Amino acid sequence: MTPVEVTWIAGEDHGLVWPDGLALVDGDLELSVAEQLWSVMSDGSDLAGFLEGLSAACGGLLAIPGFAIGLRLSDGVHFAVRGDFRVHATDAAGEPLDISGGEAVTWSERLVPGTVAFMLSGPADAEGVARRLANGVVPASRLTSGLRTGQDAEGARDDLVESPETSEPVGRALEDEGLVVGFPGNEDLGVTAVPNDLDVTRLPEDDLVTLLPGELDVDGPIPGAFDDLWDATIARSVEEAAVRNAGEEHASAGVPNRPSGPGAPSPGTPATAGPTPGTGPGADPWWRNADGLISGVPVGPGVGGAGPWQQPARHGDHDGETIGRLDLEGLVPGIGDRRAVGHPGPGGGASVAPDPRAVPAVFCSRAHPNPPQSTACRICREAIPPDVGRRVAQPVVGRMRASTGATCELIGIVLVGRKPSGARGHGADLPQLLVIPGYPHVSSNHLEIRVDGWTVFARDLGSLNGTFLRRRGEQPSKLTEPIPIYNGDILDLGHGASVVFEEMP
Amino acid sequence: MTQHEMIFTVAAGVATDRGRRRQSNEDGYLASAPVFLVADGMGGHVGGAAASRAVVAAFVDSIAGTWVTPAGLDEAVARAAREVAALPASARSAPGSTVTGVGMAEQNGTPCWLVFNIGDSRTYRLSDGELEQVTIDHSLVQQLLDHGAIDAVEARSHGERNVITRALGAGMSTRPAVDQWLLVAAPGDRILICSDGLHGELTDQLIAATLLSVPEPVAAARSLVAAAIEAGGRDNVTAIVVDAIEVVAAPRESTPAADPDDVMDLDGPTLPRTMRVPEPLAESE
Repeated sequence: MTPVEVTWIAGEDHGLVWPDGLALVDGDLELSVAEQLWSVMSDGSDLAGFLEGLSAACGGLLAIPGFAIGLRLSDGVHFAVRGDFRVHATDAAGEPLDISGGEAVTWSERLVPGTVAFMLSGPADAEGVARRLANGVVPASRLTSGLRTGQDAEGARDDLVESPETSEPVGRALEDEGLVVGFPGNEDLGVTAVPNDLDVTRLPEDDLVTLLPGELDVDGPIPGAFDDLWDATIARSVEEAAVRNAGEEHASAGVPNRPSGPGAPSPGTPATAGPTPGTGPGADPWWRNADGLISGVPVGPGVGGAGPWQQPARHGDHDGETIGRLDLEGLVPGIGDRRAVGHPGPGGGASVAPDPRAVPAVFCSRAHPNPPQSTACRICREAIPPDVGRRVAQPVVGRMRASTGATCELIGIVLVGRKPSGARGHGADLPQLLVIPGYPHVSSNHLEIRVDGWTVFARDLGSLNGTFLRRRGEQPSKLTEPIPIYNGDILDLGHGASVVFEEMP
Repeated sequence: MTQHEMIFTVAAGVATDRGRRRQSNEDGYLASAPVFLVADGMGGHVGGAAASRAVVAAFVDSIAGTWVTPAGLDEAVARAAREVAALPASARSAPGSTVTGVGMAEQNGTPCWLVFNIGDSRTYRLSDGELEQVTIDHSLVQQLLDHGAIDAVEARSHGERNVITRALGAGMSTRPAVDQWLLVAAPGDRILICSDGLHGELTDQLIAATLLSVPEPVAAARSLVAAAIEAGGRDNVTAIVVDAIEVVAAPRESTPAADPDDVMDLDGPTLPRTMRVPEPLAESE
């Protein structure tokens, strides 16, 4: 993008200028915060980044000060204005356009296509000369961008400047001051504490001579570009929509939904394959070894190899070779979904349902299901007659009871937390949510319990304060990896919040 | 402890506008407990409006009972897909629609939000002052984002941000799966359901600030739609704001499973509960 002419008039507010835009922010804001904002914007942030930075520094979106910002995009200029600040712009058709913070307690946003020129002003009157600035932070009352100073545009300029006499023509101002301001150490020109690594453009002497009215290069309008982006919505199948790379063919060729993240088993890897090097917890089939009962249980074809802790592949987690752009859609919703905690991984049998009668069981006379080799019922303590047993759908293998009194049957996935939430993929069930309210130190999604056959696994979901396992006869230990849970175990979430496991084999 | 019933009371407000550029409003919505949804129709003036209407009608016919369930959502989506696919196609394109929203649900006596999505309309939740986008767009841009091909800044002005990869109808060959999220509801939760004419025009920060500063759901929906029109109004704009007014879980009696049948019963009977009728809805325009 061609650099545009930016000028400023001195004042009490913070004037921020960076290659893609400019902003005027209430001078009550600390200078250090203004400089941070400038830094964030210089790194290519968008309007959301500006607002987020302001909000973080001021303690919330409703506490941010007045401001005006104009951000040049490929298809126009994105404006936001709050409070007493104003934007005056000339749009692509040459029509003047005013945006104010209005009466809203929030602010106004507007995307203006192909804006030629605009001015940001604060509540204070702008008096003094207009000086050029390429980049930096200055104490300003007004900023202008892309103003034509030539005769042809004189009308537009008058329109933009309320009191022409207070704003010298740019060329004149430069001649008067002899310098372009905005570089470090120029305090007498009103520039304070500009970061030392500022990329400040100092105009060559020649430019001072040639900087005549009418010769400034400004961005022109981009006719039509804006409208093109808002064509009617089209739906395309992923095949059409996605860009295919060579080598991606397998991804859409009916291969079972299979994790492609690091450590994911390659097709054909048996379910009992050994650990894959360099993997996350998902790929290591440790759970198969944790309980001899499980290892021999046949699982559905879609489950093969994918561990119960397999997380959905996230952006950046895969190597780009084994996963195609088009294999995501239609296989696993919520890929890249930061909330898909406890979501069965892409290999978790998303569209290939596991054998519904996959769990071997024996029964007491009251028909309570128990693991094979049980001699007494885990629920009613009754003796279990010798029996060949049979395969059943995943049974409830016990229950968990929170210190708050809430209980939850142990089946499928249970998310424990102050405010748990879980996602569902194709064919999979939603997790159960066990709420532990009233404990601020308990994370929203604190703990995941997963039932696999007769085995129950617990995993801390990266909670802030951690989870400790209290097991009879053992020292309390912090959950750093998924662990199998046994009857009577207590998971301690701290400060009296805990869950205990009951009625398990 | 006295056994009390589960209570989940909501209040909702809707606003919709055809925007500055479009000749007609092809957005449809349903805002009637226990389901609140927005459907963004596409496929030309007549087809788009017919498609979003068909989606709304399918949900009205399918969602019966006090609570929304995952199976109930699947059924409603299947019906909606059939009915949209049955609409006559124009020479240019087959009618289609997005759908997103929230159902009032319960799990083990706990009131929950059951959020669902197909397409690029969105459902957000404002909780404890934080706005969270719950749904994930089914769009080409989202896919590119997921793969790191573009960043969030580029996504905003991407030339093909109107391309969605999952929809009801729209010539899609297969019945679309509906993404679902289950969230424990809390008093003070505020759900926003909107078409891309809203979230495509406004930053999430302005959406959050508006939801934080306008207490009435109807007024909040109107403010959001007005802001989106002011920001450009390039598409139809629809917003539903749903507030959780009262949320009380039914404490479960932790009786041991004495009955053998209970142990195997994965879908045990639910406890008695009440749901109050939401406040009357208002609509702008």
